[in-house]
Amino acid sequence: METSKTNYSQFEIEQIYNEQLDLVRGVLFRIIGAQEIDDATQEVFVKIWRHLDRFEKNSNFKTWVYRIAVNVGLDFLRKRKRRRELNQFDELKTASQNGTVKDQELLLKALDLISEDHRVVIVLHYFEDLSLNEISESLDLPIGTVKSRLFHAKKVLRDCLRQLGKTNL
Amino acid sequence: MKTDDDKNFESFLKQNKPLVSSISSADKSALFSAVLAKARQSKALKTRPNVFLDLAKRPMLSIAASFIAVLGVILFASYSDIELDVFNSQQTQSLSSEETVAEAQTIEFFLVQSFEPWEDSDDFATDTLEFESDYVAYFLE
Repeated sequence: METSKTNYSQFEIEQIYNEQLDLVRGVLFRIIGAQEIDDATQEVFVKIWRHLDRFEKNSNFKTWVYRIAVNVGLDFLRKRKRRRELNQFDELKTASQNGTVKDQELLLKALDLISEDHRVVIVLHYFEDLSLNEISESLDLPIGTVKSRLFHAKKVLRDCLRQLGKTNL
Repeated sequence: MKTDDDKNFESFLKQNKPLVSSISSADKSALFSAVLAKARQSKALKTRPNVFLDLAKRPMLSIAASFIAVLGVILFASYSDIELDVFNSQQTQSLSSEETVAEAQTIEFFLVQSFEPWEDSDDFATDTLEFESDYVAYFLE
């Protein structure tokens, strides 16, 4: 049974929550979308406090929070048992061609169609503006793996968007 | 080396960054309460009560605490005055009595005697040696 060593004042906890909430919600939204975002946010903060005593003071707190948020986001995706049905893709393609879906929404939906690993590196690098080193630290991956994954992720996402009608990309 | 296509695609990504809707302060507080409840439920969190923060958030409690503190200071001050008066009157009485002065001198004599250094005495050295040997023997057992 896991016992917690954490013993923080409510003030300290509220401070962390206020400082990190936007970051956590942002990255979760880009990974899992708006659905279940509040549940996932709760889960992230519970994990932050549970493991706060294990956080090494000389490491970067932001990348540590990103790591937790990404892992929680991926857990939620796996639990969700997504169905990537063909008609869903076709509906999205039609909406894109008719112009009834904005590029921002299309991009979010396209991210939902690519693999989790590819999505995470795209989100962290292009939307959260993390450097390759920071991504490497957040995901606990060698920098070479991050570079290669990002390269493939861009290719897969671009192909996906092209298939959805964004032929100018 | 990035091609024009790459640059074009990267700029598309940055321009269309999906943005999460902002959260109202009421929703933020409600979410925080839910997070705290969940953390406590899962025993992930043990919070220390922060008395000062609690007082700051509860004006009535703060006023009551200030009132009690002021009342405490007033009571202490009045009690000190009573004590001082009693002491002064006792001191005046004792100074006026020659017998009491003599008695005080006797007490002072015994006090000085009892506080004279006794560590140099042979008894103290013997006792200390005995104690140390017992102590060593106990740990050697």
